[in-house]
Amino acid sequence: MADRPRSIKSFKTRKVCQFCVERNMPIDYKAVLILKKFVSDRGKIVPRRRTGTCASHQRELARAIKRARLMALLPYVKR
Amino acid sequence: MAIREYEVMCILRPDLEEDALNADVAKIEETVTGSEGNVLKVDKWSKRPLAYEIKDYKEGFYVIFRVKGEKRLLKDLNYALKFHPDVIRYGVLAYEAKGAKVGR
Repeated sequence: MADRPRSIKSFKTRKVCQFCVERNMPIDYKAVLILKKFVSDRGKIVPRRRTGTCASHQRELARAIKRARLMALLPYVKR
Repeated sequence: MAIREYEVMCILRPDLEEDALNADVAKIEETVTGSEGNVLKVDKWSKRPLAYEIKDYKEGFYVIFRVKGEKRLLKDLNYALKFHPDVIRYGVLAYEAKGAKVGR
């Protein structure tokens, strides 16, 4: 007897905070290549629900992205 | 007064010659030592494109200083960088203990 098809919900893989997994990944406004992963192609900060970043790291990340924007390392808007 | 560490990032005009750039960096260092501060580290990035135009420039020289000093240093540094003709953007940050984690 085949198993009941699993609900769609259970197919979702649980995302984990990348900064918690890789302890030595810096959240720094100068590390542009890392910050870029957490910015949409429009230059917006990607929400936590899509990246799986934990709350405290997301706060740090947002701060770093905003600092990087001020120093013209990241764009405010990208067209 | 508490002595603190700060990180100063400057973006300098892209059309500077090598000598002029070094002279500017030396001048900024002088400002720091002039107000009883120490320059711990100078990190010169190569010329890189700006994410958006600043004062009609599309690229710039990034120079990062790590300095140590009292509050007076901040005042002098802000004043010096604000009116420096070759500095198109600058930022001063407290170099937090957290910031030290960068290389952990």
